[in-house]
Order: sequence, then structure tokens, then C-alpha cells
Amino acid sequence: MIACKHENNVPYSTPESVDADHLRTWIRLVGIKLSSGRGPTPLPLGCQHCDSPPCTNACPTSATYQTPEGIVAQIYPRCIGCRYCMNACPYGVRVYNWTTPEWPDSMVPMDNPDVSPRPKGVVEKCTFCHHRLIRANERARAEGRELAPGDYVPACVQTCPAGAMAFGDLADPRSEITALAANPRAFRLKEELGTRPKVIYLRRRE
Amino acid sequence: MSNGYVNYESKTTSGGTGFWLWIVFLSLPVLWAVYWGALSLFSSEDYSALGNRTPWGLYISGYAFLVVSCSIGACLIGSLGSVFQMERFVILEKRAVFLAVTSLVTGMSLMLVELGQPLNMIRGYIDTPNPASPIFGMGVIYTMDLVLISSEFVLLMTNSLLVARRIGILALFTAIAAGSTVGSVFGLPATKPYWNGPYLPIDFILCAWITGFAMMIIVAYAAAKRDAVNRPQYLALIDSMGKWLAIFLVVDCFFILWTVSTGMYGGGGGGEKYLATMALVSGPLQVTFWGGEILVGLVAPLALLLLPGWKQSGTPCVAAIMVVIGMFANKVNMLLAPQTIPTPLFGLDAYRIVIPSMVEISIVGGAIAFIILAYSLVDRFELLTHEAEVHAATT
Repeated sequence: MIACKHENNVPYSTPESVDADHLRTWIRLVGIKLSSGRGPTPLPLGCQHCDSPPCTNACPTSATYQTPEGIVAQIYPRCIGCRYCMNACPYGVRVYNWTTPEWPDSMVPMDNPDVSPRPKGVVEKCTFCHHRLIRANERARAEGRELAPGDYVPACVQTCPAGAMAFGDLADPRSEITALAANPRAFRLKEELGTRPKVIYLRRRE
Repeated sequence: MSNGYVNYESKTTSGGTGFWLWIVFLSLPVLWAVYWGALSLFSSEDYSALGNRTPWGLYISGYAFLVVSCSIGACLIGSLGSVFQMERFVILEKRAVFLAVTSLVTGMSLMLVELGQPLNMIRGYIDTPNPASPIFGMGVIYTMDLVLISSEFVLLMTNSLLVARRIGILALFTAIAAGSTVGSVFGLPATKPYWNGPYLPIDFILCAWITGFAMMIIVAYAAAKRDAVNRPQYLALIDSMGKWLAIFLVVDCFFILWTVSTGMYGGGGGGEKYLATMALVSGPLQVTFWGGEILVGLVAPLALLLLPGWKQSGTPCVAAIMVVIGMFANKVNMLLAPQTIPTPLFGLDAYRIVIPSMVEISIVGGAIAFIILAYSLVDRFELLTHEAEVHAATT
């Protein structure tokens, strides 16, 4: 969560803003009860980057859209702040800038120049560190090769000390992530809605 | 002003001081709303009680109430005279279209406060529109509706009645389409089962009819009080509209009954639709549902309208005011019910109680006060007098 905030210039929230339900975070831990009855199990919850995202249909100005790689990205200058995408999202992973974001002076030098800060009145969410993908593609192109596995991972996956998160290309049948997705312990959240989320969780071994 | 009246001064019965006190009384909430609206637009702070788990609140309820229930309702009743040439309703034509325009403009102004970046809409709707979005469709159709009903009003005021009535036909169909599109904003996404489905677009049009009749009863009652010459015409109109209002309220009873029934008993129990329904029945919204929407908005007005011997008293006006309050409560309940339910993914284990901030209440209240203020002014200076009234006064 800290890595995500630093990587994506997500402002820190004060206790008052948390009480007012104005918390700005792109990934959070939620405790959910599984169908097996066990729980609550803490799960990291960010944008599920659905294959059939309801938020992209909801947005009137195409501020949220799906990239060719399947990432559900956001174009902040197009956002009108109607918050329709927030109600359309069944996972509650979108946050709104209810106030103008501020950072303490001492934290300003740590801002990531690759990610633009968002103004008051726009919605934001996890982008799978899309800017890292753009950088990785540029690097691969400069080196005259294709993008290789491991060239690009989001900040949260890179930082996780327990190795609890994996990232890869679901369209590549030889990738580690495809093998994990085929595991019988694998499940997705709210599959019954038909959103086809690309974030897959593995149940605890019994 | 030459208007063909004989002994014009004896026509009106209202005094001057009382009227101006009424104008001052209405102006205060309007000015207060403008102040807080400007602060909300230009300040770096947020003055609403909304949050990430309740992104829509009183501004959206107010918007839906004004642009659908009030504006489209007034347009529908106005069309009874202008489009369908029902003799009795012709006298209300100008008043109804004026209220339709004023409500629509006021509702759109409320949207300016609600949206985080309203100016992006101008570029976004032209450069990067998403026609699949119900909000995009709503914006386009309401813009057409505004142009058409404004044109109709101008044509009525300049006595170009034939062209006005032709525009009125287009305005009527556009208004119905616009109202149902607002319903589709809620009804299309499958992620809120309480809203999802074809019901809300239809319910919004029903609410428009109910609110339209209620508003026009109030308007006709106020006109009858001031205009002794045309009073029998207005009373006959109130009688007719009261009956229609009662019929539509009975229909609404069944809409509400089946909404609650299917929510409580139609699913597996414990699902989101059930939880949202129970938020109304016994949860955090039970007061606004049973008190505002059912008792004040349905039961009491129906009882008043169906009582014998009410025609000469102010009872239909009282019933109409209660209906308007009930219709506003309906929009608040509809909007908040699915947003308050326990949702583990949102970190919510219990119902969330949402109380609008004083700023939200001030702005929405001020918006409603503005419509009443604008109508009071134009009516006081006889700007909406219809030819039918003039001819009656000179015979």
C-alpha cells in the first residue's frame, strides 16, 4: 500500500478524511468470508481490471477505458467527476478526490515524475502501474526486442516481501500466472456478475 | 398593459406587502444556496456528506426530482392543453411550460455543483463521447429537451400558437425520452441489483405524471385564489386534476407494493436487492420511506382526494403539496437504499447511515425555493395569463 502510494503519487489521508470516507488508496486490505465458511481472510483489493468492465460503459466521456493489454486505465483530464463509475464498479475500488490533494513539503521531492497528480473532482484507481508498462515497452523497443516476462511488474508486486503476489501475462499459456490461474484453489471475486476480473486469488491450502 | 379586461383591478384579490414579504422569504434560501454553491464549485474543500462508499446523495436526488418529476411532469400536463387540445387544460399551458423550463434549468444548475469537473463535460461530450453511457445519452436528450421547451415557451409568449403546438409535440416525446433515460442511468448497470432492470425508467415517468398533476393543482389553486373572475374555470380544472392524481397515486401504490415484495421475497434472501429493500422497510431509511413516501406522499393525499365535499376548500392543494414532498422522498429513498447496505468488500458490516450535510440541504432547498420564487414573480405580474382567461374576463 505504501509502495503504491509513493509510485502513483496517491496523497496520504488524514484521520478526518478517513472518518469522512474520503480515504484515498488504490489498494486496501479487506477481510472477507469465503464460501467454505472460513474467514475473515484478508485480501488485497485493488482494481480487478475486468475483461468486461462495467465502469468503461458507464463513463460518459471515455475517461476510463481498456488498453489493448487489458488494463482498465484512466485519462484524468477527461473525467467530469460524475462518479457514475464508482457506482458501476461492484468492487468499490474507485476513489474520488473530494478535496484538493496535498502533501507535506518534505514529501514533495519523493513524487514520481512519471505519474501526474490528480486534481480535486476526478476519480482515480489502480492502473497496474500502467506508466511502468509504457517505460518497459520503450526500453524493449530501444533494445530491439519484445517485452519479456519480468520487464514490467506493478509496484505492489515488486515490493511484497512475502512473495504473496504474482503478475504476468494471462494470454501467455507458458507464463507462471497462467499456471496459477488454473490452480483448483483459484477464485475471482463476484464472478457471477460476468465482469471477468483479471485478479485471481488462491485459497489457503486445507 | 392593455389586456382587454374591464375593471382589471377588481380581478385580483392579493395585497402588495404580503407578496413582497413572500418574495423576501424565498430569496433568503436562494441567496444562501448561491453562496454555498459557489463555494462548493471553487473551493478546495468538500462540503457534502458524501464519501467513496456513498458517491451519490442529495444533489442527485434533487436533480432527478427537478428534471424528471417537476420538469417533465409540468411538460406532460402542459401538453394536455397544447398538444392534445384538451379544452380545460389550455388555461394552464403557459404556466406549465414555464415551470418545465425553470425546473429543468435549476436541476441542471444543481448538476454543476455535483460534478467535480463540469467544464470537462463540454470538451468530453464533443471530443470523446461514449454513446454507450446512459449519462451521455441523458445529457444529449436533455439538451434537446431544453431547446424545445424553451422554444415552445417563447412561441407561446409571442402568441405563435400553431408553431408552439407543433414544437410541443416534439418537446413531449423528447421529455418522455429524457425522463426515461434518467431512469436508465440507474437501471442499466447490473452492479446495483436494486436499481437494475426496466422498472425505474417507467417509474420515473409515472412519478413525473404524479408530480406534474400535483404542481398544477397548486398552481391552479393559487390562480383561483387571486382571480375571482376565472375561479370557476380553475376549480373545475382542480376537480379534474384531483381525480387524475388520485388514479395515478393508486397506480403508484401498486408500483411500490411490488417493488417491496419482489425485493423482500423474490430473491434468495440476504442478497443486495433484499438488503436495499430492507433498508427502506426497517433499516436506516424507514422514516423517509414510511413517513415521507408512504404516509405523507401516498396515504394522506389519497384520503384527502377521495373524501367527498372537498372541492370548495383548500384540501386538494394540501394533498398536492404532500404529494410533491412524497415524490422528493421517493427520489431520496431510491438513491440511498442500495448505497447504504452492508458490503464486506467495502469494509461495511452494517447499514451505513447517510445524513446530508447542511450545505447539501441548503443548496437543494435553495434550488426549489428559486423555482417557487421565479413562478411567484412572473405570476404576480400576469406574465403567464392565458388568452382563455382574458376572454373570460371580458365576456
